[in-house]
Amino acid sequence: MFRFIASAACALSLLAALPHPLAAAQNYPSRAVTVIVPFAAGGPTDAAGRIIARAMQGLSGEPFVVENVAGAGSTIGAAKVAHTQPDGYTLLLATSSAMVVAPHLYAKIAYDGFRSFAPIGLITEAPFILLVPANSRFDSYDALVAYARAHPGQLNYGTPGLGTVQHLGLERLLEASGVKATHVPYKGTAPSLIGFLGGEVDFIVETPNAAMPMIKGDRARPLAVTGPARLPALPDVPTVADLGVKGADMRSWFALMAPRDTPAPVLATLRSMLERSLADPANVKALREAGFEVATMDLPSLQKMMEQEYGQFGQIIKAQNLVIR
Amino acid sequence: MELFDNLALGFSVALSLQNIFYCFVGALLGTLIGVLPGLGPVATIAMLLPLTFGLPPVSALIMLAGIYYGAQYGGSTTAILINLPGESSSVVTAIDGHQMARKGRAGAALATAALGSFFAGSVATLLLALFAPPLANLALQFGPPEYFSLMVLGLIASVTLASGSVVKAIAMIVLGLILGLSGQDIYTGTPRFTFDLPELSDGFDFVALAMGMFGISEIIRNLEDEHQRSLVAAKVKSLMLTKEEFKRIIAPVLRGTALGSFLGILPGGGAMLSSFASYSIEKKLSRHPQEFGRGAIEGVAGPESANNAGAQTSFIPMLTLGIPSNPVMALMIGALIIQGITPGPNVVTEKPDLFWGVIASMWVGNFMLVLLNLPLIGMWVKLLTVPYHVMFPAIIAFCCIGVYSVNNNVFDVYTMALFGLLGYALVKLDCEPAPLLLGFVIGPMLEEYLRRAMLISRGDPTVFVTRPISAVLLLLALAALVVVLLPAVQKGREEAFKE
Repeated sequence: MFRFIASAACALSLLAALPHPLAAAQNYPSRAVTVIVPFAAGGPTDAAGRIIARAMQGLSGEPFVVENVAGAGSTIGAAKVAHTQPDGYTLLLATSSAMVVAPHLYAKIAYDGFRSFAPIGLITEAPFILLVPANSRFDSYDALVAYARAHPGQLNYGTPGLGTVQHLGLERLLEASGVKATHVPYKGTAPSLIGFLGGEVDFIVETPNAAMPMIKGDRARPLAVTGPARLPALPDVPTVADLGVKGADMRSWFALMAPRDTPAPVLATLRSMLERSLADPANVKALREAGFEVATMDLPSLQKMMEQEYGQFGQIIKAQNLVIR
Repeated sequence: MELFDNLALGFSVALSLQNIFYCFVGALLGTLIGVLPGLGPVATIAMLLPLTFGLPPVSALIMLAGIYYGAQYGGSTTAILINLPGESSSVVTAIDGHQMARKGRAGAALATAALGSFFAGSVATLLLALFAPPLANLALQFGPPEYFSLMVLGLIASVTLASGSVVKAIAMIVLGLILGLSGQDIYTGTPRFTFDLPELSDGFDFVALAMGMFGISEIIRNLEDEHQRSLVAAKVKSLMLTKEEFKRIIAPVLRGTALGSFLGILPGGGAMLSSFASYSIEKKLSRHPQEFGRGAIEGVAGPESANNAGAQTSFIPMLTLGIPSNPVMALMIGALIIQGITPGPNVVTEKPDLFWGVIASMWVGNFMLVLLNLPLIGMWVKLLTVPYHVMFPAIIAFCCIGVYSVNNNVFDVYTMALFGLLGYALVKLDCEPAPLLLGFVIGPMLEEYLRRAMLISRGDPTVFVTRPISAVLLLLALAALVVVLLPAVQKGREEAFKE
């Protein structure tokens, strides 16, 4: 009995020693906040992460430090955030690959794409542009599909890797168009672009920020946009829906996330800070110059979009038998 | 002439007081960071990236470029002084550079590195200014079959890296290839030798491996015997090159420059091959090959020039196509993106001040590096006289910081410790670590390009001989194999090592 009391007393004193979450939440943030970017420094996601971190630092007065924790298809960084103290001092710049693809792709994974995180808000969303080399014989998506139909599996498409959004999205698009092509995975975006420019593959999809310089430099020709609407910069390029391919939209997005049990007041503070950052024209401009259009969404819509993508990617990964054990 | 107009524009940008200042800051920071064992340019640039947000784009890029080649140079300094190469390119410098240091010729080795780098950097920059766009298109001609054949050539040539037994060298290469297998297969996603550790899904980290195999194992070995510590083994002789040494480095510097300039253009891993390709060539051409591995000055001059020439020409894919050829370039592109410039094929025409300013600043920067480093040589050499019991804890601490900073992951620090022990065991068995490291770097690329070439050719192996560049490279590889295996050569080689 004495033992029980002693250990209970110990447990209680330990509890008392812990800072009270509400008290901590009231003056949040009172020290540096780490924003984990699950990619190597220098990529487009990193650039956007740094712009957001800089903006939130300006609003809060405390430093927002970007830490790059790359590897294993961005799951190492995501797992790190999922397992930190949910106090709002470690946030994740989450991409669709970590949230809605990896949980299906990897049989063993140290977090749950849904249940491990509390969303703070969407930052940006962009469609992909389907590109062929400038000297390609295909001048329209229909021509490409017609050729692929007559020559199944003969065309090559490049992606930044197996199980990337580009790979899975293109598989879905090709399936919806009723054709097959050969997947050529590269180790990341830069090598895939080199392969594309060197004529190793017949087509790729790229986000507008990487595609526009190649289109303007006359090295790539855009055939279709994989979003719901045409891009202002490319008014003549049809969407895949315009081309009669339904239900094959794909997009890249990222959102700011906190570990799941982060106190509600902290989440509210973060949400209002992110909202204000994204409403500031200077940040909108900086993100646009980095190639991202700010996209905001209320939380239920974000949740719904993630659920929808979660289901779609799960389907395609199962159909293609891509699960990595 | 248009080139002169362009260069005039470039120098007018690069020689503005502000940009000279940033160039100097970059070169200085780069050198200092490079000298700290373990901290490489990637970590440095990632840390300093926020500083560049407030600068004009040209100044930002000039400073980052300065850090890059400064760190490249600084990395050679640690390779020579304490046998600690921070990146793949200085692995080769460590072989003979450190042996020179042990013989008291650290000053000469450092001076050779500085002068060779300066010459190579200047020539490569000129190439960059003259031919950047056509060279970029040439680089794109290198498809998977060409890279595969290049890697085969590299792998065979890497046998010459060892100064001892050929059998042991081959064993080390194979061990390196095996270590390189760890990680996720990029074509099927299957994890290989990852032991369910997510940290291993991208394979072992090169920096952790190199730091362990060279740095940590060297420390353990030095601690074995207080009297045989390598750092103070011999009295430091004159800091500068003798006339005879100077004559000996001219040809290697020229050859290294040519080789490095070409291989640096290739974004798929060419720059990495340049320094040890140069080493192999120098060893084969040398009239005293027995000196290699024991402090041959050519073994420093050639690779250092090749390495620095490659560092300059690896800007070509980035500046003309907007595609990074290594992680440092990726960071620079990131810096430009944050500045609102998306690098691409149009940068030359749309931002001529940026393009030419950066090119001109490379000359300025390389010149500054020489000015900065020749006087510093004396100081670095004095570092060697610091008592080893003071020195080694500092080296270990910096190694840990440096390795941690690559991925912000403690796992890599443990990896380094593990490879330190392995490296020590190998040293005891008279096996040299350099061929292992090259096997480790080349292996995954060899596999990646082989399988991609076969995937695109739909399983037809003749692509390797029907594509002319690939066929030539394979023929060269065959010739290299004959040279390595030819019994007569072999015999001569063994005799040479008897003394």
